[in-house]
Amino acid sequence: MGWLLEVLRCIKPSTYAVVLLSLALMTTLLTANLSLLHTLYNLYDEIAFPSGRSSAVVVTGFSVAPFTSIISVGAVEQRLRGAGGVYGVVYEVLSIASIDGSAIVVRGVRREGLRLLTSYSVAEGEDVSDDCMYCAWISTRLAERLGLGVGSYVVLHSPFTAKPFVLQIRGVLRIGGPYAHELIVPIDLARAIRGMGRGQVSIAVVLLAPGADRSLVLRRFNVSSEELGLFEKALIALRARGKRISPAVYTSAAELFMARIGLHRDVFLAVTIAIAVLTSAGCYIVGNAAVLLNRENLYVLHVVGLPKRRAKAVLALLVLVAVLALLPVATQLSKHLLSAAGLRILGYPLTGDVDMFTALAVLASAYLFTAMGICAVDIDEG
Amino acid sequence: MYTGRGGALRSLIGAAATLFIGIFRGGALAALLIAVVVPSATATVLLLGVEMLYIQGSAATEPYVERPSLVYSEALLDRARCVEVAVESAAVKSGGEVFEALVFLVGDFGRYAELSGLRIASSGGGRGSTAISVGWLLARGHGLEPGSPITICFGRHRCFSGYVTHVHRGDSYLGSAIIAAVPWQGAGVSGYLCRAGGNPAMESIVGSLGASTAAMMRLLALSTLLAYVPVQYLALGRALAMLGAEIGVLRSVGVPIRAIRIGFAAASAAACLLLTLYGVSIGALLTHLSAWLLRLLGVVIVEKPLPQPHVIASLAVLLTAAALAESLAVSRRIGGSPWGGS
Repeated sequence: MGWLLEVLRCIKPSTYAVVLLSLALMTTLLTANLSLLHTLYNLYDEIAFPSGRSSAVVVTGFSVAPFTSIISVGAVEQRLRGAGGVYGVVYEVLSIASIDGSAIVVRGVRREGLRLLTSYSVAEGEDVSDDCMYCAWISTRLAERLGLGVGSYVVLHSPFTAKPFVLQIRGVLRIGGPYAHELIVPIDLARAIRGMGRGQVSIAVVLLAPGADRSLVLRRFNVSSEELGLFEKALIALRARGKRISPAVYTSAAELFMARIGLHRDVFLAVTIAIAVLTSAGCYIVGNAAVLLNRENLYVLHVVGLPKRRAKAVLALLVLVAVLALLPVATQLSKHLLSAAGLRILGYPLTGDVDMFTALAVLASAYLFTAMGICAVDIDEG
Repeated sequence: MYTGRGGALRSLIGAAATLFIGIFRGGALAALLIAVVVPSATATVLLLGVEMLYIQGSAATEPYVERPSLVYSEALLDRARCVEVAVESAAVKSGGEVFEALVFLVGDFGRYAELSGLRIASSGGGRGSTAISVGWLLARGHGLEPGSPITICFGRHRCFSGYVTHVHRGDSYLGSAIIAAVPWQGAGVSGYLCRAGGNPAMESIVGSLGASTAAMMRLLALSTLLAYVPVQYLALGRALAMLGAEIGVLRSVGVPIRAIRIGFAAASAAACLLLTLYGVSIGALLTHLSAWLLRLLGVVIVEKPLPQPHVIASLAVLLTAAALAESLAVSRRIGGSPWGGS
């Protein structure tokens, strides 16, 4: 192993700086890009699925776009009658609206339902009520962002009913998750904003009791849990065919919407991988530079008997260590970068939470191209 | 040997031309292709893709955007299609009961009813001239009907009394509201309810979504370009190393090192400009190819735009400026070891 130390000794310190800096910038920005796309892909799931509760099944309508689904409360209740393992069912009306030219999501939910979905407390004003048909509640963060307080009026225009709604803010809540960026209203008012009739909702969130098997709920809707991975979400889409309702199960809302236009969910995966591969192609040049910066020293070692392959293997090993060390750095930096960029969609901040698959895809792709770059340059190249 | 001011310029142009040709003839091009074409093509795909999606989305929502709707406006848009309205929450007293309701105070009840399409369920029994219409949900919940006495108070001191003259229909929002032909001097929302030719809510939502997505894609494109800044620097260093023969010839014919350095920077910047344009074309081609592939899967893309001149100009300026600055830094190696930095 003496040769390993010899090669390490002859590598210039500037190589570490160049390789680490270039790879750090490349992986951070690539991670930020992919996690942004990932967040956008999962946005509707973040809105529909209760945050912090993994054991829930969401029932929605078979719609072509977010916020357009309609399901019948009666149809869901009929299916779930006597079902075991159900802790509670929360019906919600989700709508999109415009306040002062900005798009915002309006969530209609009963107070009991909201308490089942998330824990919150009243910071100012009144607690959420089910009866006030012109009242709305907002989070402390949204109140600050929109400059609203208890007693303020907001004029909300709904694209579904083509008429305005004047609402009064009745309470400011300490609430997290997606609810912190929405207008929370009584479910009947949300139906008016969405243009829905009584007995209709956008989604039903079926909360499972701790340890309950979700396949029991899925079976009630005649869908199999075999189509889902163990840790995948379960979204049941109901489609009315005449008097019959035919359900289908999906792992995310985006998958459902993509399926409606004839695209398989793997299309998104393919796009993600294509972006990772395309963007990290530049690492090939970093690999080239790692050899060229040390060409003279490595050439001397080669002349005294070190095979070129071994010298390059050491460089590739160093890059691997650098890439692995960059994993937490890139994920943290990309998070800070996106947070600093302050991007929002429908009022929700695009924070870009990095999942393990994205991080590994980025680093594997970056490493592969850097290693290829190391292999492509000859030590005695002029 | 070049002498004088004209000679210096000629030597500079000569060096730049020689190195420019050298970049395109030799292996130096491969590194620059990766460093410039990949980010410019990726940025083009991102920017063009989002534009395509925006056009597609706008086309899909156009029928909804054009539908007439009612809007609140602080300013009077059109006297014929607007009616003055103020809205405020009030305490309502009737038959010994006190409850809260949203009250629409209108100057002209008839015009308001006509403009908003208010459906009256029952009317009559008004002993005064003030029209007061109560939503059917309120009427049912509190036992109100035409002729019922009613007092509406905004705060403690601003109250007016009258009789219910109408009960109107509507959804849970309108069905729980009161519409009264009373002048307003309160603290709620005041303005005009107007009938608009289109649906500004849909328009603003589509616009807001489009702006958010465009901002996101601009950030993605910019971060791709930024990620390639060090790569471009390394690629220029590699290009310089590959131009060793050309630089040797230039020095042997007496071209000053300073002229070779500036010539290298100019040649690199020009090469990067051309490669950026090439990258933009590749990006546009890839986007259109994807749209064509989607058609095979049954997704019809209505319009396939080409990159806007300002997008091409921005990419060209950013990448060429970066190449110029970096090649000036790299060119300091001329006269020493190509990777040695001296």
